[in-house]
Amino acid sequence: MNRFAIAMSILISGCSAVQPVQPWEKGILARPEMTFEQDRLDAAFTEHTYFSKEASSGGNGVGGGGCGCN
Amino acid sequence: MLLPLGMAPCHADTPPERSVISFKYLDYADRQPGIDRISVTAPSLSLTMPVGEDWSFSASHTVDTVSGASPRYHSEPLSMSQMHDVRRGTDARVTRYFSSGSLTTGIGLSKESDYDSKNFFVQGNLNSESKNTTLNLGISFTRDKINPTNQVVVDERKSITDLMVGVTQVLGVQDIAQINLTRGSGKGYYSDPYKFFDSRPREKTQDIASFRWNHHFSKTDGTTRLGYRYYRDSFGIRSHTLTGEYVQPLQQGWTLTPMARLYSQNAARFYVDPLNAPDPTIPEGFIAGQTLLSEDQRLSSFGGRSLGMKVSKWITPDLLVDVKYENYQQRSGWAIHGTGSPGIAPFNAKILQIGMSYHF
Repeated sequence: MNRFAIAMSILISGCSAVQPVQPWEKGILARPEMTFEQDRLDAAFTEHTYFSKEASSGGNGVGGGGCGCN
Repeated sequence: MLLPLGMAPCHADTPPERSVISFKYLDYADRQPGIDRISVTAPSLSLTMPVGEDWSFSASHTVDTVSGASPRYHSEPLSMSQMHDVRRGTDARVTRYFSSGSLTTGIGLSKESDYDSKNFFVQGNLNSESKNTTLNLGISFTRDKINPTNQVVVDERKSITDLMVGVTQVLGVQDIAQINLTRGSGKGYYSDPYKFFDSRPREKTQDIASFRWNHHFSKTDGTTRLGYRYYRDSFGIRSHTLTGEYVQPLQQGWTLTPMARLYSQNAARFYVDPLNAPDPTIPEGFIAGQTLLSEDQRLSSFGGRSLGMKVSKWITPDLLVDVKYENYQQRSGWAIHGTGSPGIAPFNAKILQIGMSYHF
């Protein structure tokens, strides 16, 4: 986990170097397709399918629980 | 670690403006040459609604009906066993929104004839003053109970704790990116009771690094959504996943979203190749229940490719209808880690989703 902590520190410090976007400039960022979760049921079905056919899963959030399909 | 009912989103700092009730129907079928394997139908219903000015509530319910044939080892046709099961999954979550972020907590329950799972999670998002940087933190606890119909084991348990930390960063007026790092730790019964002499370690740790980047194109009004995930676990699995989709709004409420996904994993360190097909492989010195062993093709070395298209249309300002079709394939030869595991049949799946959402 130490390497994870280092990676996060680098990332957060890197973020401070990004040119700030003002609130009135965020119209495009507010569009649904620019968010990281669009269609919840679609995402759940798709992730469930990959989970049941591959050895790896997860990475973009927590919660939901397990099942006997893998 | 996965989430049949869907994960909590990692970045949502304002309550929904309207309630949404959604229905989706999944039709899934997979096969290998000459053999139809598993088919799944799964109707699913979800509700998301604002509660007051600072809260939201969401819940979903899914019923998966799974039937067909599954190999007991590798992809050997002679080892196929018939199965039929129904899984009922429900989840609910509540989010409180603050001026500087949000806090979500939720539960998930999943029940099959031979597998029960309960999950509880908490996830928080903390915004910088400019709201251009968001810190994402999450913790999840899952408790599973396993009672296979063949009674290979009785009342087995598995418990998993996931910790996630991440950052969502606005990179510009048309760019946003996110990185999440997850550590999962679990103990208990990880074996597959329906596979031939399957015996896996009773502890497992997983490390995942996920990167996502969304970019909007002014010229086309379209948006690319790109992602990369690196995964490794204590079973010896290493995988790379690359995803991409392009969301193109069109006139009269239509949207086209083509997508592609590339995946590659190496084999678990206790996976054994088919050396005596059509018989299973029994390594020298093998002791049932003691020697770590798996002949599950999902733990072999392979690559996966997926191509799909989603078409959606706003029928009225309140009603959205969508159809998505995806073709998913696995081949040993597509593994980027070496040459892939030998003796595994090609695997193909077709995934169809039909859905509608009503906003009110």
